[in-house]
Amino acid sequence: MDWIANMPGPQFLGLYASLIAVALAGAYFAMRASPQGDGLQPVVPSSPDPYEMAYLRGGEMEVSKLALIELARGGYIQERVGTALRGGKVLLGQSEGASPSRLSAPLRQIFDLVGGDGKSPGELMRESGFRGAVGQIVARFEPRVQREGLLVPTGRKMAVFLYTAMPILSLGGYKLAVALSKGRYNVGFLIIFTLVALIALRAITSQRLTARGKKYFWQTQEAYRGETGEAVLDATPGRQLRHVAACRVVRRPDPVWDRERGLCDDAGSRPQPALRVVRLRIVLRIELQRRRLWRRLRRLWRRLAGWPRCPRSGPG
Amino acid sequence: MAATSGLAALPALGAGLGFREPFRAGIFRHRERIAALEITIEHYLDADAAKRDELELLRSHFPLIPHGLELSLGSAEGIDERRLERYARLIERVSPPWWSEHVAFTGAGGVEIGHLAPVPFTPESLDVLCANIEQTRKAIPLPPLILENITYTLDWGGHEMSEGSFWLLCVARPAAACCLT
Repeated sequence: MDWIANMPGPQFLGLYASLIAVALAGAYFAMRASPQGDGLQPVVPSSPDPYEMAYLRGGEMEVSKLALIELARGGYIQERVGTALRGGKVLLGQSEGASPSRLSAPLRQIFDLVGGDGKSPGELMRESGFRGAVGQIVARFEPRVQREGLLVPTGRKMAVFLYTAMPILSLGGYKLAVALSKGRYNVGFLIIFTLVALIALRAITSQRLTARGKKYFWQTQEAYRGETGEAVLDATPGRQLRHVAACRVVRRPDPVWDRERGLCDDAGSRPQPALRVVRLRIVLRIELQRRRLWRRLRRLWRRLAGWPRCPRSGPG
Repeated sequence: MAATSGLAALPALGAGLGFREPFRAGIFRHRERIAALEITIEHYLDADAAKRDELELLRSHFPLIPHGLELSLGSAEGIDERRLERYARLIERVSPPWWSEHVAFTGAGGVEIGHLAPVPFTPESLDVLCANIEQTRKAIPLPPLILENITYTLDWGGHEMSEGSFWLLCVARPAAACCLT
């Protein structure tokens, strides 16, 4: 290893960059070669499950959002008009007179958690009951999705990350130790190269879907992309949810459907549900991103401070 | 008759639909009830990425029957070789059980009329048609070509035989032996 220790900085950085490129390429192809399941490529379903599509797109976080959107669309929950702002947060609360008897068990559970007083999406998602309800929804299709090889197994992601990060960190760490032991502190590029490599590796290994999963998701999205126009005419909730789940298409206002569910009076004086749903989605997204960032910072701080690791909280 | 044996050799797919983009979601919702889709060849000849993806999506879920509109089998100027090559590439990609084209002409003198015009029912016209079919079958030997007669509101006149007699003579010719009307 003397030749590496004695190698001039620029030459070593060239070697290090080459190693990083090879390692990242290897990680990329290893992720692409994830197990694809035993059977053939699954065909586009004739009636796709919106929750399954949301799960494929973004995991439990997307399922959580979709559950809240379904409740909002069905008129079961709504933003608390008038008392909407509390500490800068928009609150969700049960709609007046909403009867949850027709809801499925997990949605009923979420409806009960929302309560009459209202909670922010963040507060709601921190509740263990909420995560349990989302878990129930996911359990409906998760085994099949795994069996069909649509998702990259978590173990494989970790293995690829570790086996790729190991040579990068070993070589970089060795050179860093040698440089510091010789009293050289011009190691900025070495540290930057290492950090960039780790960030790129994280991005590569964070992909959730296998090639088969991506194809299945894309084909389902493509097959039902043209359904938007019909949804306006035939605004059945199931079909709208399919749009949201597969295509991120938000339902346009449908006065008849809204009026039947008490979401809009005859004069149209209340806000149209579609607008409220858009706003809800934005609020949810901001809230979730803020929560995720805060959780990561907290975890990092605990690790740096040497505190015991906390169990992960929140869906996704 | 040769035409009958050609028909018997074709697989029985069941009832299908002509694919139209606005109906795509509905088609997939009722996929189990649709045995095959007929696609218009011209829609995919100069296809952008989105149309190529659409073709791949359809191909992986349905048996596809390509249907041509503008080969102009009845044209006395002959078949456009370049167009025929593009037809052949698309048909090879789709690998259908058969493909079809109209007996009509759609252009003359380098001008595309964008419409299916009827051929005159004469022996000369029959010779032209059979020569064009032969040329087409040489370029695309498989799968079988099926001929479709057209509906028309404008009659050029000058017929020397009835339409029925024209078709009977057409399928009796060796060039069009496996073609059906």
